[in-house]
Amino acid sequence: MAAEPKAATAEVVKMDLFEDDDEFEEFEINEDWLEKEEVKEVSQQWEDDWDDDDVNDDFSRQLRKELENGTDKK
Amino acid sequence: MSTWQLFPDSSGDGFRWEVAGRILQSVSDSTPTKALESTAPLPSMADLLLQGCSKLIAREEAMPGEIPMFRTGLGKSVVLKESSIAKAKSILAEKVTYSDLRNTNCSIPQMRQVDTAETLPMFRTASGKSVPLKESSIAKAMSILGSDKIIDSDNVLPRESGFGVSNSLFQTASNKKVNVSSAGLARAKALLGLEEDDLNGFNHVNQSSSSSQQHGWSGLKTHEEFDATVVKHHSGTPGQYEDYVSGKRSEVLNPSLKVPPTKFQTAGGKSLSVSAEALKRARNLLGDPELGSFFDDVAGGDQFFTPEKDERLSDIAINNGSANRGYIAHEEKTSNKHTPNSFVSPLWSSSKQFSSVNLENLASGGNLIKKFDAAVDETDCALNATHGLSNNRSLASDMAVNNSKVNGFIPRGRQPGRPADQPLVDITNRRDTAYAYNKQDSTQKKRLGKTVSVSPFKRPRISSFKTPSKKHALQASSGLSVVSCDTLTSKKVLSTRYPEKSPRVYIKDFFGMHPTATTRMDYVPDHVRRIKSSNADKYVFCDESSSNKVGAETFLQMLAESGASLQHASRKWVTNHYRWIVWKLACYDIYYPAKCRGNFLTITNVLEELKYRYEREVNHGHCSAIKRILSGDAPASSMMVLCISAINPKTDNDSQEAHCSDSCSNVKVELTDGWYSMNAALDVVLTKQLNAGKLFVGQKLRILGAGLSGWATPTSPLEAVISSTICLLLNINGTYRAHWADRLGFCKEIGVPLALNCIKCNGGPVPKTLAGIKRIYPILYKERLGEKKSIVRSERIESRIIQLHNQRRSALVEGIMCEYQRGINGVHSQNDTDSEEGAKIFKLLETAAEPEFLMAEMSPEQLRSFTTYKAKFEAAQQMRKEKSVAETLEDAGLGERNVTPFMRIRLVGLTSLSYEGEHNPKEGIVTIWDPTERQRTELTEGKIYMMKGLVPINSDSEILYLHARGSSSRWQPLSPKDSENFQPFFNPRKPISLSNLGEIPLSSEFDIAAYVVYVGNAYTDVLQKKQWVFVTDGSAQHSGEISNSLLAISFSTSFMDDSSVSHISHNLVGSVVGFCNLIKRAKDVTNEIWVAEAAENSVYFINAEAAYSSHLKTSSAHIQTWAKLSSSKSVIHELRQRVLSIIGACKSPSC
Repeated sequence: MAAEPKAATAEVVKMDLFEDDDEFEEFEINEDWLEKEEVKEVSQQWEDDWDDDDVNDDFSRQLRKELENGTDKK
Repeated sequence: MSTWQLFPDSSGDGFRWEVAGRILQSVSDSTPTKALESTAPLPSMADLLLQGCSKLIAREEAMPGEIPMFRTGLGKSVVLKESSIAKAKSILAEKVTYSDLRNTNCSIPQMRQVDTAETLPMFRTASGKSVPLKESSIAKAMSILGSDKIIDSDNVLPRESGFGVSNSLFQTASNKKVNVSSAGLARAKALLGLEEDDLNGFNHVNQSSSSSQQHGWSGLKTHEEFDATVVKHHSGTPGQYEDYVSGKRSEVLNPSLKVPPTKFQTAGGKSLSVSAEALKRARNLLGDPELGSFFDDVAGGDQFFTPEKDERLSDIAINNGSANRGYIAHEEKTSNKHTPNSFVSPLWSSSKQFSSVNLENLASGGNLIKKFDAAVDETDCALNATHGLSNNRSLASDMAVNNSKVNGFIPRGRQPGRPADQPLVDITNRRDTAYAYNKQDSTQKKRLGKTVSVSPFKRPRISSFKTPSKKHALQASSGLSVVSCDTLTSKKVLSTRYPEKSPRVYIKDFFGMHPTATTRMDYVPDHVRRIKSSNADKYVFCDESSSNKVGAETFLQMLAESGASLQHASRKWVTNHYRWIVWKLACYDIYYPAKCRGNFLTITNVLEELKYRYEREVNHGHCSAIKRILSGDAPASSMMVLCISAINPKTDNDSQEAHCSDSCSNVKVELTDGWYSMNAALDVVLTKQLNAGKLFVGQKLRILGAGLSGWATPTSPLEAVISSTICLLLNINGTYRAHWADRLGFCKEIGVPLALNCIKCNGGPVPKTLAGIKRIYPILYKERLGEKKSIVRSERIESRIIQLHNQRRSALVEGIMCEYQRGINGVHSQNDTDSEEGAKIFKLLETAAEPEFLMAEMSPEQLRSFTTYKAKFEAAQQMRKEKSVAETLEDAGLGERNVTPFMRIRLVGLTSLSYEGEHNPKEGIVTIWDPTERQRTELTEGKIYMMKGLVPINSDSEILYLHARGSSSRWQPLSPKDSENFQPFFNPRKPISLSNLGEIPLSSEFDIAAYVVYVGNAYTDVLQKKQWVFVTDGSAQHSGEISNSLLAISFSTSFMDDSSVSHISHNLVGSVVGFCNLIKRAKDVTNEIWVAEAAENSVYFINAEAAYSSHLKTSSAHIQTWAKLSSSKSVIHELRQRVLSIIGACKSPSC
């Protein structure tokens, strides 16, 4: 990585570096809206079958491995 | 009392009015008006006299100078134009000078027209409608003409020549007379194209000031009437006139007007009137007696308008529509700033969003502001109302009155002194100033107990004062400058990181790889690596500078020092957020060691995140997904992304957990949205996935259609995490693995449908799925015959059953009725003991030879008692009859049938065009119970649908079985364009001939048109009644062979069903029939006969025109033609003989 980000420096507050996944967006959950939006066409479907192991970029297995490693080290 | 009377005309063709008494009393400005002792035209004269005059007389004393008014029977006001009266007078040949009429002050707009050649001066539209004129209209006309010498003066200028009446009858807001120059009027006249005579009427209008007077009266009535009147005026006046009214509202104000009661608008758009008393009571209930004086004194506050206390407002006299407009002017200011919450006048809501606010030449507007200011000073409430004056009368510039600000409240002591132009805080306890940040603002309606400023007036908890659409419309349409987040002046801003000043990269782009891509963990010290979600709240920083231990408690103090309210940033609150922040930062340090270098988990970062959360949650009222679900603000079924933070989480209440584990043996996990957490119970299939290691801490789940168990009332997430009673219920069909960087919380996007292939038959309801319709089977009817017994019938048999059922019922009912008729005397004689006179008369009349004569001689009392008795007797008789019939029918097994229609649909899973793997689509059969009419008629084979509300049935079958209710499931067709994204799945129905039946695989469905050679007799086989039908189609006869030219179709019906309706008629022999959805069975090799089964979904049509079998039409015609050939007849005969020989040899061809 050519340019090490500012994250390395303690002075920079982490929040200024990137937008976190818990910075939720506030919006109204409206059933009508959902119904209306559904009129929009759907051109894809969710095909992640839990029985398939090759989905999710092997993320699951890798993370699990790491977690197991972490537990072992304790 | 004087009155009108109607007399026949001398000609005899018409009528004329004559007065029986005085007609009109000429009035002067200084003396009270006498009641108008005339009336409007028939037929409401009597009503008018009775209602209108009496009321007017009653009001006479209270309203000196007012003219009387008439009312119709319905209570609507009927007004008289002086021209009408003049006409009436002229008809009556009374010499009343026109000048006498001019003070009658009648309202033109509602004036009834008298169709006469001698029409008195009046404005009319091209369509002949009368054009009502208000003085403001005339004033506007004058101003357009450049003669706006509207002078604020008490001096009434001398009359201008050329006018029979004083033109000083325009009044300013302060009730001063306004002089209008003759030149101005002349110009107005020229503009309006009026002749001199017309101007007389014009003067009258000026003087009568119809609307103001009318509103003066209306003040005594309800506010609704007031509004209605105003609306009427609006409807009858041109747009520019309206604009002017609003612009000039203050100039034509009338102090005598009763201000309408406070009107609130509900979310549903209804208006509620709130009286001053109610407001007082509310004020008392709210326990802020100090505000009382404010409300009393400043009746026209931005959100309240107490009508009865308008002494101070009397400087701004209100007239006509201006009453509301004056109110609206403030309303508008309010809405500009307060987003959605100001109360909207009903008139305002239905009228223009941009009301011109022209305060030109008006001291009164300023006076009002002074009053407000004074009141605010008195009550120590900060109030800001900066008014700018717009001199431009154009609508656009009127819209630009954006310097008028809001009136509001801030708590005592928070803002003791207020700079003149500083905006005020919101009166409400809402937090939704967020719109200033272009964020959604409507989700704060349920937040309780977290206001920094204690509002003196609390809104009902769930009430919304404006519907969302209106809210947005107001925001969008205001176009006025918005003072950003004034409420924050009373709240301590803890974090400047929200709203975001400049865009930052999202976590996905920042890290660029999933957490385990790098495995070097050398940077991370052990104590960080040991941090888990369950112990993160106990983590303690070691402050190197002071060697102090910094934990959650210290952060609580830090927050408090920063200005956070401990009421909101409680110990529990801080500990909870500290937990999730520490866990998150520790994970970053652990899984992205290269980028983080162990620098993320620092005191500064934790504090900043805490402040950010305080800012959003407390100051902005934002709530994370879990908090919203637990508070009841959002349904748990909404799509959201949550992260597994623990598996089998420990709770403080272990015994409860043990107890729960008995009832719900499923494994629980703890899910977090990053801010709060809650438990979730996994279904059996998800538990399997958990055991297989596919669910683990850190895995994000996209959840759709989750249930919520144990939730009864809004619960704080801080409490819910302690008790384990509340939990989400997750089903695998609504739970999908999410990307590592997916944003936590509710998803704004629409849920993607789950592929049919991925549906687990034991995985719970399917929130959405996408599939193609391969086949639609005919409607069937299931009749329940008691417990666990039912029969499924085809539409044909069901209709026959209904027919038969009704016939049997009719026969039975007829029998009962006959018996009943015979026994009627007996029933009656039982009632003979009744000593009622009616009964006696009834009996007497019944037995009398000529009852008419008897009845004629009866007294009215006797007749009445007879009628009453007869009605009672008949009703009782009817009841007895019905009961008896119902009982008898029930006993005979002919009671109401319990039949449910249903239809089956064969679905097939879809494969994306871009998918290069093996195409192995899954099939499913959906049973729609009680299908809607749309589902029956609009669902089409070959189309792709997105379906909601399907529930799979657990089975071992390869085919997925689902069921749905017609009303609760949704079927939405995909557009042809989007359908092209998927591989083709549909094989259209086509007729199969016997010659190519061999190509059809066994157990497959096929459709065929065929000539019926023979219909066998029905016979019983185990629990079914069976019947064979032999058909041919002539397709195999070209070779002269008759082998393989027969198809034997087996029909079977339930043993329980009535054989008389369920068997196939022998009459079918010799006709061509279209069979659909037959199932191919193994061929009878011995007899060389094809075999097929007609199952539940199979159906046959004798009529080739039937829509369902339209694809068989051509082949039906061919077979028909073939059957008529002489050569065919011999073949058919031969085939019949063959069949007879087979069934003669054994009972069925399979033997």
